[in-house]
Amino acid sequence: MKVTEHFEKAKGKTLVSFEVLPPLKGGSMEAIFKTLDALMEFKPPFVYVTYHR
Amino acid sequence: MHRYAVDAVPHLICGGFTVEETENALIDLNFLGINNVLALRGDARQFEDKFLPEENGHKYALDLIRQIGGINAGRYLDTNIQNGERMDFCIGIAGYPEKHFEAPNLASDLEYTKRKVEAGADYIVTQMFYDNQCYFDYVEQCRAAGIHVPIVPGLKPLTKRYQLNSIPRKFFLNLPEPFVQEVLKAEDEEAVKQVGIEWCIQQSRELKAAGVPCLHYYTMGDTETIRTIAEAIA
Repeated sequence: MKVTEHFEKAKGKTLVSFEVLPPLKGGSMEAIFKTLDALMEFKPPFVYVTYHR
Repeated sequence: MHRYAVDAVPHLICGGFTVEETENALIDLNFLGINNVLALRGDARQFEDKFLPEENGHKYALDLIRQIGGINAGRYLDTNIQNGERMDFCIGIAGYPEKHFEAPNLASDLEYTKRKVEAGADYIVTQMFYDNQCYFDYVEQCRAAGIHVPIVPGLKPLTKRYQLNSIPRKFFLNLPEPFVQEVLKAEDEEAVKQVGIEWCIQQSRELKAAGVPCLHYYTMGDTETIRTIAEAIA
């Protein structure tokens, strides 16, 4: 679902979202899974994933 | 996304991508069922003192947004493609309540933001700020400039004393004096962290009370701090 659709569906309720860092090149996915495991209870409808150059 | 049943919003940047690579990335994202992107120019690389675009890459986020808007309308780089498949990306962009550091002034910054919205941007996520009044004023100025998309406040808790200097240096923003005084008064680093968390909680509560669509947190890998804040405002 689109972010703007989440806003509409929330009908004025304030949502929560997080920005998480993907693993650095050659890094494992473990850290991002650990981060997300810890944040899912706050029910973010969407999560932003940054980009490493 | 599949593991957590939550929508993923990848950052899509200009840096390091040719326009062809950007088009391929959009086709791949669409194939993967991802229809949200945050479209940014991206920072300069650490060893470069200013942003350098890829040869045949976008120099400005506005051009990237135009490309995404184009693919949403079925326009591809290959002009031989007639009636191309339309994609349906929801486009988030960055907004700077304390102005982008390279913008000559806020009015000019807002002018480009407005062009981004006209090019198809659906909503704005702001750079972090520590004075909510900056956000409220920014929203008001956007509306006055004819920018009517949702504006999501971005927040990042200060957790270390040295950030009193590093945050303004890196992000070109002001820390309000009462906050600075509280951080300076804190006895040790643990107390600094508590002050920073408490400040972020107060900011979050006020923004929530003002009816913002979403509170966006920059986690920077510090999950415990963000958990404390999210618990306090739940």
